[in-house]
Amino acid sequence: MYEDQHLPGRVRDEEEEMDKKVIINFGQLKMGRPIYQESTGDTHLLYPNQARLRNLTYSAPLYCETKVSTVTIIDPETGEEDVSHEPSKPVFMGRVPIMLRSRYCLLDPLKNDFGLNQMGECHVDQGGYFVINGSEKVLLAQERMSGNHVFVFVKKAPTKFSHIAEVRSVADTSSGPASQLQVKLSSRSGSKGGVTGQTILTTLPNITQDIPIVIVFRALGFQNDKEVMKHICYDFNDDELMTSLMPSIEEAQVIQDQEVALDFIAKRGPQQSATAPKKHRIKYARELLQLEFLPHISTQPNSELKKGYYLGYMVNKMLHVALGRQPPDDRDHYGNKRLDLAGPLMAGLFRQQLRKLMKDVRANAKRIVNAGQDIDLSSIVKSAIITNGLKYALATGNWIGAGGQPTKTGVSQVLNRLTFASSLSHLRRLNSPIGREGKLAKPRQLHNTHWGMICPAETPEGQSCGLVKNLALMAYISVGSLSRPVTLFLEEWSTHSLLEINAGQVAKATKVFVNGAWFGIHHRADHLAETLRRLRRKGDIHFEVSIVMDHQRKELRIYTDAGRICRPLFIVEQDRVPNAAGWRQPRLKIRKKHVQVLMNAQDADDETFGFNALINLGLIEYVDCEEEETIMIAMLMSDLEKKDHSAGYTHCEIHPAMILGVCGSIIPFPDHNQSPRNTYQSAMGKQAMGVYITNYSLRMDTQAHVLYYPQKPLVCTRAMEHLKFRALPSGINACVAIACYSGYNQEDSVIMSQSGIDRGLFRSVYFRSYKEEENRKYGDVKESFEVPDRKTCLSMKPDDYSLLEEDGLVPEGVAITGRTILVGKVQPMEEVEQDENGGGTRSMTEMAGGKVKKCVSLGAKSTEKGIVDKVLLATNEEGHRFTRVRLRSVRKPQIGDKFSSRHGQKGTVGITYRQEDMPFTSEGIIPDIIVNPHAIPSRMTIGQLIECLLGKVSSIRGTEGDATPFTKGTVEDIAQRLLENGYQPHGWELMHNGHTGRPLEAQIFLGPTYYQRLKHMVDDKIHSRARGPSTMLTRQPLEGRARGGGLRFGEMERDCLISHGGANFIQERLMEMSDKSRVHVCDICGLIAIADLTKNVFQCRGCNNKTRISQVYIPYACKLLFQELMAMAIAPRIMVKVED
Amino acid sequence: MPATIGQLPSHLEKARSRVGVGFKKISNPVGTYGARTYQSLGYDNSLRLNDFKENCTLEILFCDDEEVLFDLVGTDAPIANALRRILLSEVPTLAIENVFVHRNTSIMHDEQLAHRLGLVPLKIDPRPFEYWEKGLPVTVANTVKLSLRTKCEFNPSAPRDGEAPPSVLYKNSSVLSGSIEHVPFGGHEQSKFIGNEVPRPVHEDILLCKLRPGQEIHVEMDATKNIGREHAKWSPVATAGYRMLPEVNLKTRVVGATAKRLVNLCPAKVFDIEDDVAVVARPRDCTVCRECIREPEWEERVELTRKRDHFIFSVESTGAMPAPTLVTEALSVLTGKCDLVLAALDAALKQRTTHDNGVDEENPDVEMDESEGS
Repeated sequence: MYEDQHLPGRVRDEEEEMDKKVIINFGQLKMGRPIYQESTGDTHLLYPNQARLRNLTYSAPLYCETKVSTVTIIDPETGEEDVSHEPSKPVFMGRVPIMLRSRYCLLDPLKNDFGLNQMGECHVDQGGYFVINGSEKVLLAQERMSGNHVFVFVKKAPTKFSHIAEVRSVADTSSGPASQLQVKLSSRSGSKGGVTGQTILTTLPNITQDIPIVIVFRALGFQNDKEVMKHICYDFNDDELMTSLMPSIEEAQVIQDQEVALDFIAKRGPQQSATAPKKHRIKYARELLQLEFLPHISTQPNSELKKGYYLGYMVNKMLHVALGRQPPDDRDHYGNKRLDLAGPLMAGLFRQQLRKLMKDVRANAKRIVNAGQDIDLSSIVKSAIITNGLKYALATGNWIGAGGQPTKTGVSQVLNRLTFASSLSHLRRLNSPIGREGKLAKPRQLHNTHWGMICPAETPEGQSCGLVKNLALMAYISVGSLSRPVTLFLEEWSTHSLLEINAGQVAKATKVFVNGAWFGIHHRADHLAETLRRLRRKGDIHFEVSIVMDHQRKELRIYTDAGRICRPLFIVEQDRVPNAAGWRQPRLKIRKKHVQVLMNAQDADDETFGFNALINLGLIEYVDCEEEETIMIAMLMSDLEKKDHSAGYTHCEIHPAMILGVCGSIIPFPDHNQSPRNTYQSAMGKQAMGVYITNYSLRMDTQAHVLYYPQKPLVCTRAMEHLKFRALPSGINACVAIACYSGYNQEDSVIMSQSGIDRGLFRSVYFRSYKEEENRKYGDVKESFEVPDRKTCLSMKPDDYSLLEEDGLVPEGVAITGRTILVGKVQPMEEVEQDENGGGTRSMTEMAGGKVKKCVSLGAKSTEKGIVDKVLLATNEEGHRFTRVRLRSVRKPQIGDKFSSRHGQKGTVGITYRQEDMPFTSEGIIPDIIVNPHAIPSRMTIGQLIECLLGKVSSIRGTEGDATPFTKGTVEDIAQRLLENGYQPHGWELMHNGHTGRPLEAQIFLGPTYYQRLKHMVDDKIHSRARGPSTMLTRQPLEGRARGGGLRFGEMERDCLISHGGANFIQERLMEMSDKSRVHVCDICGLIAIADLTKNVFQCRGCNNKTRISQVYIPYACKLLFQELMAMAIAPRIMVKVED
Repeated sequence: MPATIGQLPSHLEKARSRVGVGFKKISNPVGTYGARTYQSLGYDNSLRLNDFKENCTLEILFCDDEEVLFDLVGTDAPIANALRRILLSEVPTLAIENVFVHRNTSIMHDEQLAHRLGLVPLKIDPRPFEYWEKGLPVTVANTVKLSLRTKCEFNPSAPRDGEAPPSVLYKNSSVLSGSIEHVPFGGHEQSKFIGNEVPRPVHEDILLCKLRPGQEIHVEMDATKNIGREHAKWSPVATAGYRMLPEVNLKTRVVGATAKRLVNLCPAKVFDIEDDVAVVARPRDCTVCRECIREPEWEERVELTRKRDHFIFSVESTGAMPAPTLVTEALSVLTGKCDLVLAALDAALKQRTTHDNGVDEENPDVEMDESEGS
C-alpha cells in the first residue's frame, strides 16, 4: 500500500487499487453553425463581416457524442464485471475557426451575389481564409519533402559514406514524426574488421550505432546469405551488383542466427535495452523492427518479409546509383515535395489540442472518481483548451509541431488587402520552411518540374527569394484519397503480392508501389497502367490519383496521398484510322460540341456542364509532377497536326500562359520582357491601388487605398477574366510618351500632367482605421469612453479634445488634423497607494491634486489628417465596449508619388506640367505621363512598348487588346492595324514643344499604357524636425517619423565632416543639437561631484573638497556611460586643467 | 542695309521656311530668325510690322459652336503657340468652385462628388462676370448659384419579378448633370450678368453619381469665374492644337508599278495616279505618318516638309462658349498681354529719361515684333 503523502507527485494507479473503472468514450464529432453568444447571453448566427468589425473569431462550436460507462469489478478472481452505461450525449469540445466560404461557412449556401452582398460580403471575394479576433488570416501552404520515398544521394568525397539511401517513413494513419531509415554505402577508404571494400550499413531508429545491412536482414528472418542477396539483387546473373554486396555479406559472417542478430541490434540501442537481460533485449529488438522500422509498410507483427523486400529495394536502388546505372535522386524535384494546406495543418493542430484535452480530461476524471463523485462531462471537458489552442496558433502563426517537430512560425499571416490581386496571390502562396540564411542556391532555383505548377516570375526578392513561391493559375493540390480502392483494383488485375512470389521473379516483373509502399509485382505493367488510367478517366478511381509508369526502373508508382501539386491537361488520343496522309493523327478528346456546351454553362462548378464535367467525361485530367514525366505533352494544338513531331503525344497543354501565377498573369506580353522585370512587376502589382474589394465601405481595415477612377486595362491578358481584374482593376490607361522633355524625368522619375491630375487622374482615397476599447483595469474598475475634463483628469495630452461629443467619440464628417483626439477615454485612478515604507497609505487622488481620473485617449497620428468617415461602436468578445474610427483623406498625385507600368518600371513624379506646357501632337493630344527613354534599353522591357502600341490600336478601334503570352500575333500585325487607322505604324508622333510651340526634333513614341499608382506617397514619408522629443535614457532625439524624431546624423556623416575639417559643425550636430549636458567634476579625483545649484554648493565627498570643482559640458550619453562604468567599479575620471 | 528682297537659293529657302520631315528625324525645327543672316546673299530676313500685318492671315476652314478649324498663315510658332496656350489656360470660364453639402447619403464621398461637379462644363457666358477668389464676398457679379437635389426611390410601377435594370426598378437611380438647377439670387441685377439664358450645364447627360432607394443628394453650388491655369476645370477647350501645313513633293517622276505602290503605301490617300504618273493630290490630308519614306530608297523619291509659317489650328470648345468666340477671346487676352508689356516698357523708358544718366548695364532694347492678329 502506498501512502500518498510519502510519495508526492505520484498518482495512485487505480486500476490495480480500485474496484471501479470509468471509461469515457468519445464518439462521433459534430460541428455546429457559426454562432456567437453575446455577453448578455443571447446567441445569434455570426456572419464573417460582423466578426471582422467586432474583433470576433469566426468559429463554430464542436460537439462530441460522449459516453460514460462504469465498470465495477465484482469478483477480482474471476474477473466478473458489472458494466453500466450512461446514455451518450453531445459534449461541447470547443470552438473551431471556420474558413470563409467553406462547407461549414454561413456564406456557402449563399450562392448568388445578392445574398452575399446582403451579408456585407463582397461577391468577388474568394474566401479561403479565417477571421481570428477580427483579422483575416491566411494559412500559407507549407512545403515539405514527401515521406515514404527512397532517396539516394551521393555524398561528397571526404565523408565516411559515398552513397546514402534514405526514407522518411510515415504510416498512413499516424501523425507522429517520420521514422527515418538510412542505408549507407561506406566509402572505399573505410575498411575495418578484416573486411575490405565497401560495406553497407543501416541507421535504424533509436539505435545509436550503424548496423551492417545483412544483420538487419538476419534479424528480419532472412537467415541464409542467398535469401538476403536474392532480396537485394533479384537476379543472380548480375555479377557487378552481386560483387558489390560481397563485403557486406562477409562482414556479417559472424552472425548467422536471427536471435543473435536481434540481440546485436538491441545491444546498440538505448541504455536500458542494451543492459537488459538477453530475453528482454530480443523482445526490444523485435518490437523495434515491428513498430519503428519502416512503419509505412506495416506495424503489424509478421510483416518481416515485406519489410525485407523494401529494405532490399533500398539497397538495390542505392547500389544502382553507386554503379552509375541510375542518377542519384534530385532533392528539388517537385514530385518529391508535398504541400500542407490549411486542412492538414489544422488537422495536425487539432490533434495536438485534442490530445491535450484528453490528458486534461483523464486527470480531472481521475480526481473526481477518486473522490467518489459522479462525473459531469461538461465540467470535465474544458472547451477553452481547443478554442484557445486553435485561436492562438491562427492568431500568431506559431504552429506547434506534431510530436517533436520544431514549431513553425509565420504559418498564418494577415491577409494582404492592398489590392484584389494581392489578396488572391496571398491565398495561393507557398512557403518552404528552410533556413533563410542557408547559402545553398539550389532550393531557391526554378526547377524544370515547376512548369505549370509554380509561377516562374512571382517570388520575392532578397532573403526569401525562391523559398516563397506562388502557385500557377491552374495548379491544384491533391486533397488525398484512400489507397484502398486502388489496391483493390490492383489485386483484381492480378498484381502478385510480395507474400506469394519468389524474390527471383522481381527481376523480370515490374514493381508496383502504392504511396511509396511496395505492394507487389506485375508482369504486364504497361497494360495495368493503361487500365488504371482508363479507370481514372472514367471516374472509377479518384481523379487526383497519379499513375507513374517508370519503364527505366521497372516500377509502377501510384500515389493517392495529399499535397501533391497537379495540373489539368487535355487528353490526347490517336485516331483509330489513318488519315489521308497515311498516319494516325493524335487528337484532343475534347471536341467542339463539348466546348459549345461549356460556353452555354452557367456555373463553372456545375457537375454536368462545368470544368468538373470535363474531368468526369475524361476529356481533361489532372497530372502531378511525377506523372508528368511519363507522358508526352504537346505545347499547342497545332503541334498535333505536324506529322513528324506528333507521334506519341498523350496530352496537350491547355494554354502555355497557365504557367504563370496570379501576379504574373496581369503582365501584358510577359514573354517579351527580361525575366527579372516580370518578377519586379509581380512584387509591385501587390502595391498598386485600385478597388481592393467591393465592400470596402463596410470594412474597417487599418489602412486601405481606393483609386477614384480605376479603369480596366486596354491591353488585357485572357487570365484577367478569371482573376476579376477587369471587375476590380488597379490602374489607369494613361497616355504615355517616352521622351526627354525638360529633364524633369531623369533617373526613373516621370513627368505628369497637372491638368490630368486636376481632372482626377490617379486620384485616390486613403482610409485609416483606429481602434480603441474599454479595458477592464482590475476588479470592477473599467475604463470608459467619455470626454476627459482637465479639472478631473490627469495626464491630458496637449491635443485638441474639442471635437469629441458626449459619448467620447468624434462625430462622422468632421475634419481631423494631427493632434486631434478621436476617442476620449479615461481610466479611474487607483484609490489607495501603498506607501514606500509600507506604513501609511495615501490616496493617489490626493497626490494628483484632486484629480480622480487619468486620460488615456486615442489621438490621430500626428502626420495624418482627414475626415472622419465612419465611427463604429460595438462590444467585443469580453463584452467590453469597443470602437473603431475610420478616417479618409483624398490623395492627389504630387511630386514624389510613386507610379509604375506593368513591366517593373517604377518611377516617381519629378514634376507636374499643366496641359499647355506638355508636348502636343497634331491632334492636340498631350501625354498624361512622360517617361524617360533611358528606362528602356538596359531593362529590355519590350513588353511595355508592345503594350503601348497595342493600346494605341485598341483605343482607336475601341476594342480590347489581347496581350496573353505565348500567343500568335506580332508587332508587325499591330503596326499594320495602326497604319490602317491612319497613324504612324510604330506609334511615333510628331510633337510640338508646349513651351515654345516648335516641333520636337525627335519623333515621340506615344500611346496608352496601363499605369499603376503605388502605395508609397511622399505625404506618408515627408519628415523634418527642428526640435522635438528625446529619449529618456540618453536624452538624445527620438528615432522615427511617427514619434517626431530626428534624422540620424550617423557615423558616416560624421566621417565626412571630419574629412572636411568641420569640427565646429560636428560639435553643433552631435552635442548642441543633441544631448548636451552640464556636470560638475572634482578637480582632485576627476569624478562627478555633487552640485546643488539652488544653494550654489558644490562638493566632492570622497576628497572632502568643496572648493576645487569644475563645470564641464559633455554629452548626456557620456555622463550616462561614466555612471554605468562606476556601477561596475570602474572609475572614469575627467581631469580638468585650467590653462593660464 | 539693302532693302531689296531677293530670292534665297532653294536649299536655304527650304531651311528657312520649312521643317524637314525625315523618316527618323525632323530637320530644322527652329527656323532662321537673324535679320542679317542672309545679308551677303542680298536677302533681308528681318521681320517688319507692316509685312506681318500684310501677310498674316487667318482663314476659317470649318466652324460651328463646338469646333473651329482655321489656317493661321504668316506668323511663327511663338505667336501660334501663345494663342494655343492662352486658349488652354487663360480664357476664363465659369465652373463650380464651392459645393455646400446639405445632405449626401450616397456612397460617393462629399469631396469626390464636389470634384465631379466641378468638372461639369457650364453654359454661362463668363465675359460679364468678375473673378472670385477665396475671401471675396459672394456677389451677383462673381457667382452663379446652382443646386442639385435628388432622392432615389423604389419605382412602384416596376415589374415585381425578374431582374429589371436599376433604371426601371428605381426612380432617380442615376444623378445626371441635367438635374443641376440654377438658383436665382440678387434680383434684377442678375440678368445683367447671366443674360436671358438660364445658366445650366452644357450637357444634360453627364453621370454624376448613382443612387439606390433611400439615398439622397442635396447640395448647393457656387460657380465662379477663373482661368484654366488655376484648375483644368476652368479651361474652355477640350483640345486646342495645331499642326504645320504638310507639303509632299515628288522629287522624281514616279511611274508605273512604283506609282501604284506609292498610292497604296499612303494610308491617308495623298497620292493619285494621273496618266500612269503619281501626283500629290491631297497634301493637306497627309498625317505625316512617313509610311511613304519608310523604305530606304523612297526617301529619294518623296520629300515631306511642313511649312513653318502655316498653322492648321483646331479648337474644340467644352461648350461654355462657342469655339469661334473662344478664339477671339484668346486673341483679346493676347492683345491685353501685349498692351501690358507696352505699358511696362513705356513706364520703364519714362523712368530712364527722368533719371537721364542711366547706368550702362543691360539695355533692354526689345524689338517690338508682337502685334495683334488680323
